[in-house]
Amino acid sequence: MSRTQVWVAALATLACYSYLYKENFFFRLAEHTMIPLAVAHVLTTGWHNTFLPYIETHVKGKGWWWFWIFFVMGVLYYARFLPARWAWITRYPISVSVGWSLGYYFSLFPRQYGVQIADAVRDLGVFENILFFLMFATSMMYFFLTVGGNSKPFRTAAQWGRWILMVGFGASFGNTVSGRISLFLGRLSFLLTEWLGVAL
Amino acid sequence: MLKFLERFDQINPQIVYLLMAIALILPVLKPIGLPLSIDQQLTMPVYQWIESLNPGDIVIFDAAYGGGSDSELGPQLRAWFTHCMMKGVKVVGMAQWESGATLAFNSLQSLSAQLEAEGISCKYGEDWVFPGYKAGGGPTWRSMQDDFWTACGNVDWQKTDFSELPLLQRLKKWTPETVKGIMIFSAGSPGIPTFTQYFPDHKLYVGDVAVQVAGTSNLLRSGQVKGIIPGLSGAAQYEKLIGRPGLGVKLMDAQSLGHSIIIILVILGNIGYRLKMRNTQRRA
Repeated sequence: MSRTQVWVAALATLACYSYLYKENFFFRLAEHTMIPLAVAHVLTTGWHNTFLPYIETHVKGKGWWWFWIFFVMGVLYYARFLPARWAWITRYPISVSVGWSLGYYFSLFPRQYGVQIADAVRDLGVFENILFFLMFATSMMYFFLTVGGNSKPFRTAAQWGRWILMVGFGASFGNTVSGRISLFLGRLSFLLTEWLGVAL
Repeated sequence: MLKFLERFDQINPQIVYLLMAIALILPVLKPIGLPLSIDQQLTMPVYQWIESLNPGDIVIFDAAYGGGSDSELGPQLRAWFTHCMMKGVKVVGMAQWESGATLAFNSLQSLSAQLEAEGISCKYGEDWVFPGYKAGGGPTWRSMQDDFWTACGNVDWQKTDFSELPLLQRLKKWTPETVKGIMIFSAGSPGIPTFTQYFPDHKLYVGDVAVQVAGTSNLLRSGQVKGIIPGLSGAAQYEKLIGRPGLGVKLMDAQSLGHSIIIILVILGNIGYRLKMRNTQRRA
């Protein structure tokens, strides 16, 4: 990054963190600049990294002229902005893409969950697996809201399930905090090393 | 004393932020050197996988992350990549995220120059290549298994033709025989499911952002992934394992101290809440 870019990044970082003190002009400026920048970035990278490479390598390079059919279908998405008489055309690309995606993903999607369902059935000769089974069963019972769900044994087990779920959410929350701290540390190391030139 | 503790029921958030800032900035400037243990179930299998490979074996990584997770996954990628180069393992870099491609490629370019200067072979085209981001999502990744070159459009991230890259002459098809494992640096979607779905026969390893680790652990138990580098702490552990402590290790003191402050404040906040509740009930 050039020195100007480093300064812009550093000032934008400080503007974002200034919100921790209170709402202010600099935070608003950074916030409102971020959205158009993000949109411009997505459009530009999409053009250069998706559209142009496909045209160069597949359409021009290999002569796969039928790629233009998909281009036309993509353009048809915008038909919804035409007068009502023609707006229905937009349903064609939607129906083709939804139908194709469903067929493609359903053929492979269940496999990854099948492995986990199979893994839930374990040898109960090991203490760890007994513990797993109890936690698995009671957690499932928490979400069982139909016939028999109101009986006392079921409610007691579901109560245990709730505690187990809370422990699981607690672990996730702890990791979330860790992730957020890492994010701050990333910006901090940028400010110290690249902006202020401190050797870490 | 009780009056003082009662005040923690409602601490001014600005004071909490100030405390956190001090707890995070000071250890970065002056590391304390808190102990760091290696997670035997998560991080160690990733290290052992690279250790078990022979020089010349090919592995593929996926940079499925963006700027928001670069502070966690960037150090992981650098430590893991350094380990591969030290072992003579060849690396092919892919990316499900466009931003991941840019971040990972820039990072590895500077790292490879540094490794070369240290005498570790890290030549682009021979020791590592970076086809990078390829549009098309899951179907494109699936088609890479049958014909890697065609699915990638025959060019790398810098538009160099595959025929000019010696390493890729050995990678026409992406199979468990040609690629000895996949490392997924994942921050969300698309990420791990692409591989558990389309590459179930491959050895999968994950470099995970901390927030996802609890969710990915079930894949570890079911055997769908073989190892996980968890967040910044995982990066620090990996740096320690390869004997090259870097930014991850340096930032871990701050990470630990930050967590300590949060735990203390949660405990004090709960004590304050209980005391206030007790006093309110007494007055009633």
